[in-house]
Amino acid sequence: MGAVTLTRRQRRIAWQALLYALLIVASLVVLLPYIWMVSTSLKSSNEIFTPVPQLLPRNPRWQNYADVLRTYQVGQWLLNSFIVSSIEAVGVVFTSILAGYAFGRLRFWGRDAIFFIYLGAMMVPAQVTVIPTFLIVRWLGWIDTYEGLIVPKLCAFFGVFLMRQFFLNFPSELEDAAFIDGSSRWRALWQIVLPLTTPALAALAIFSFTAAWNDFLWPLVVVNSEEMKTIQLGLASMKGELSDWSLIMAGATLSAVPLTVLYLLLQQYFVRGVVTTGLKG
Amino acid sequence: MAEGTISRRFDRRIFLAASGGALAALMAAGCQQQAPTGEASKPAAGAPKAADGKPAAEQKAPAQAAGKAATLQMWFDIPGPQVEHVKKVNEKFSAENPGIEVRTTVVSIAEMSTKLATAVAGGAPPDLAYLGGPTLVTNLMAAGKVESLTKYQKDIATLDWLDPIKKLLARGDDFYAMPVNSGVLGLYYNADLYTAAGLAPDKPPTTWDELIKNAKAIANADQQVWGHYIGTKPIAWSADQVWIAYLWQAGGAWLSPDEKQAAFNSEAGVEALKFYVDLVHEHKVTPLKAIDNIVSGNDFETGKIGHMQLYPIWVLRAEAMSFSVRTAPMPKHKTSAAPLGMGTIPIFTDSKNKDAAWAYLSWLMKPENAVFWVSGLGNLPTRPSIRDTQAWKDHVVAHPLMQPFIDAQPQAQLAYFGKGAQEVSTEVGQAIESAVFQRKSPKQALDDAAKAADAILAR
Amino acid sequence: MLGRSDVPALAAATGRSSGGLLAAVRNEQARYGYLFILPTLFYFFVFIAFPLLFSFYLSFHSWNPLSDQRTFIGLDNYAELLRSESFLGSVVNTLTFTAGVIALTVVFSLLLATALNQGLRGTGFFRGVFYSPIVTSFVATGLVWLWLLDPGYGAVNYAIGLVGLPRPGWASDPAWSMPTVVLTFAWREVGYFTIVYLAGLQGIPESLKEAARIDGATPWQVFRRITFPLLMPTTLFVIVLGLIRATQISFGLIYVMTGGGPVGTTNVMVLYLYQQAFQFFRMGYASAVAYVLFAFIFVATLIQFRVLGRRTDF
Repeated sequence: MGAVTLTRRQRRIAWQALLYALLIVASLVVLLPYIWMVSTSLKSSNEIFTPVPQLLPRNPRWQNYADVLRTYQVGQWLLNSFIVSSIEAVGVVFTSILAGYAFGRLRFWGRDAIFFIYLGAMMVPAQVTVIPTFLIVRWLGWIDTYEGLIVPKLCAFFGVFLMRQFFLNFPSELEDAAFIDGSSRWRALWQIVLPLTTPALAALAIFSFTAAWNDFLWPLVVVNSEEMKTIQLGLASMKGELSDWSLIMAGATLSAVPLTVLYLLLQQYFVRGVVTTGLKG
Repeated sequence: MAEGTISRRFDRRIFLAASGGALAALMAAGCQQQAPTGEASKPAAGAPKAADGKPAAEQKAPAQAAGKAATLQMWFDIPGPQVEHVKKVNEKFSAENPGIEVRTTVVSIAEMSTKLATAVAGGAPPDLAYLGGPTLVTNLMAAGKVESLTKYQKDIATLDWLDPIKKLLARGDDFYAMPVNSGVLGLYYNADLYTAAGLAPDKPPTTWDELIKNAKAIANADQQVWGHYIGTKPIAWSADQVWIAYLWQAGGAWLSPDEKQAAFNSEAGVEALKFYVDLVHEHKVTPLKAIDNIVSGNDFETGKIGHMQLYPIWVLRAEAMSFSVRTAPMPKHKTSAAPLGMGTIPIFTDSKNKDAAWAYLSWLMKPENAVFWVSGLGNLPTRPSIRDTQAWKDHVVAHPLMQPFIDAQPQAQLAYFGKGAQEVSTEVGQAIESAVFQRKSPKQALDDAAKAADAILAR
Repeated sequence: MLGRSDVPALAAATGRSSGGLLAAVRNEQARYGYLFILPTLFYFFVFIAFPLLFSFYLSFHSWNPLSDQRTFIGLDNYAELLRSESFLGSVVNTLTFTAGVIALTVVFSLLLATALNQGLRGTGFFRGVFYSPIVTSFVATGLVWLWLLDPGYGAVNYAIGLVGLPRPGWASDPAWSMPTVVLTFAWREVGYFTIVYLAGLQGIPESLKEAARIDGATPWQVFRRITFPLLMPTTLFVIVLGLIRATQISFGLIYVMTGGGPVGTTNVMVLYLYQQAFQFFRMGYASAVAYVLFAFIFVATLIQFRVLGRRTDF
């Protein structure tokens, strides 16, 4: 009896089947809480804590979304989060591209030392830096304002780190060819290197927007009025002994929508084939 | 390099989109800042008119009393229907005190101490903050960050405040915050489960043994029905808001009379903690689980819990349950005892609107306003004289579940609130958890906590 | 101006140009270098330097943030934390939590990113699915998982019970609490880092892989010899950032799910720090804890850079 040999096509199908199985199982694990959150948001409040868990509400109560928007200033909170996160994301992406390029491709005195100091800045827990930062913002008169929310977060060193790592990946031949042709470094950065890092840029935009959107501690201490709250603050202030959890989950679902939209807009940049090196030939 | 060109085009599009988005965001920000900020507390549907018929919450009402126009910022930490009620109180105040507007911001309890500590440290406290429990206000008093109210009303310390409250807030002639409501720990029980178990629903347990007996009759492990819930999360709440009741009932004390040493590891303490451990492991009426006030309430709502103990604020939710809920005083052992809960509103020394804040507090002190505040919050008044007003009596008639809490209030005591109180309570909370999870024996757990507590008190 | 022939020489340099700062500024690369890092440098000095230095200064004091009084106590805070059972326990928990999270994150992110990079049909859909944990905040995530994993009333145990398997106590069981928070946190982080790895994989020239395949390499060999080494900078990023996030950002999730319990089994350093700072109002002591945590992360990161940080040259 000889060994069974699969044809190349059969091997490929088996391999793909395995991949699909992995992806489907992983998807279920990933989606379960999300489904639960949305499902809870559609339940009436006495359906949430039931003896036997109910996946789906008996009568989906879409009314909950109208209720949460009416009873709480969820619309205003979402708008605030949008404003704050957009501006922070732009700030982070812009400064990270520049600094990441400098640390990743340029040589200058003190480069690595400064980079390590930047890394170090990420490692001190926010709980102890929040009061000194508050003092600075208070001195600037920015308590309870958009400036106070945004400006202390306009740079993010994880973005610098991310871009540096990606810039490290690129062979310098491309830019050098441009220099030979007389291009300035600035132009080389924008026109040649940058397009090649589109996936990293898309990732950074998503991350910085999401980090700003989900940020909690800093908005907590700098926001004093209901109308300046970001969505995370607003949702947190709804939780207590007597909360209606269906409304909170409705709010949390609404909060997830802009992030999902952002992702859908940017996810095409992860498609294969966008990046090339053009090295050969 | 065809693909490179494509990516360059995409890149330009992202750049334009991003700039466009940022520009839009900036413009939106600009518009927001200029929008009238007097939109403050949007009244919920059906905002009430004030008693004299003037519309509520006049935004930019001209100041009538000279120099009294102000906007007070209030931080309130009980989310849910109470917020709407507080806004109504504030609207009534503004209607009767034109020129002073009160804007309410909800800060949930878990976040209150972080936000307040940062604000006070940064010299930017709110004008009014509702502080539940004694911890925050005693810390503020020790730090000298709250005004003595005798500055505004000389005899305020001599009013008929409940004794424990007076002890907390008075120092000599000074009186450091306005007590606005109080509560007592009481028993909630599921009357339907009583009936199903063959027990008389109007005969709640009055002793520990009766509690065990009733809980056992109700408990049914196969159906996930439990007899009694206690606080087992290793937080201060479990210790000084719940377990302390059992400690006192067993005849024990929290600290030595000079408040320098722990006394909760006495025999009475061990007995009280053993009671907890037995509930879980011997009588099997309590699940082995981390339980705090939120979990207690949520699980009780499933209708599968026989008893739990909480403060009167939960009465509002109890009345809305789909099954019949009743309340009773805490069962007694050697004595009857229950801890007192309370909420205060101080005036911060760094506040910019102290006079207006005092206008608010003195208005709140008037009996009809005090009752209005307390009745919507589901709590109890802080002065016996307020209990005698008609408004309060009517309120009690409308909410009969409140009665046991009211009866227990005169005897209720405050837990230790001096230096290191929060840490000591957390140590005891951890001891409770260790014992219930059978990591340590009750005696060992309490002794270890006592040792840690002594070190904390000695600092 | 630098020409092409200078490239190899510069590539060999370690980043220091001879002649110090002044000569460096005359150097064209250096001029652009400083210019490009100027915004972040300015930001650092205004918003980062002061808080970092102030909290370091605080770690030698005893300070209740509500009060104006700061008392200098030298190294007492550090001495206390070295003696504190809770603190030392939190260090061990942090190590366990971090190791668990990073192992799961690196393995599964890379696995999923590779699977998604194969060009299978429906990749777009799956990409969206694995990204979805990121759109919810940590607090919402923690709450929902807490309900799902409730030992008595949660859907997960209900399903497990139906199948007849023993039902774990999850967040309420001292034996299961650490795995519960590790799994929940990793569940969310995997989505985040899958995107990072995807971007990294996109950056690997297809031509290199094609060349290897033509030479007869199997897919596994291509992965091992070409893809994975070229992913080193990305892996370094994943591990370093993963470490930072696991030690700090995990606060929200663990606080909501277990609060550090039961019996301290999930009490990690950042949770201990929060408790000391904002529940017990001991900001000085908390600052000392923060700096010990900082030192721990910094050293670990330095090691990572040594091991994984070699620049790849073509």
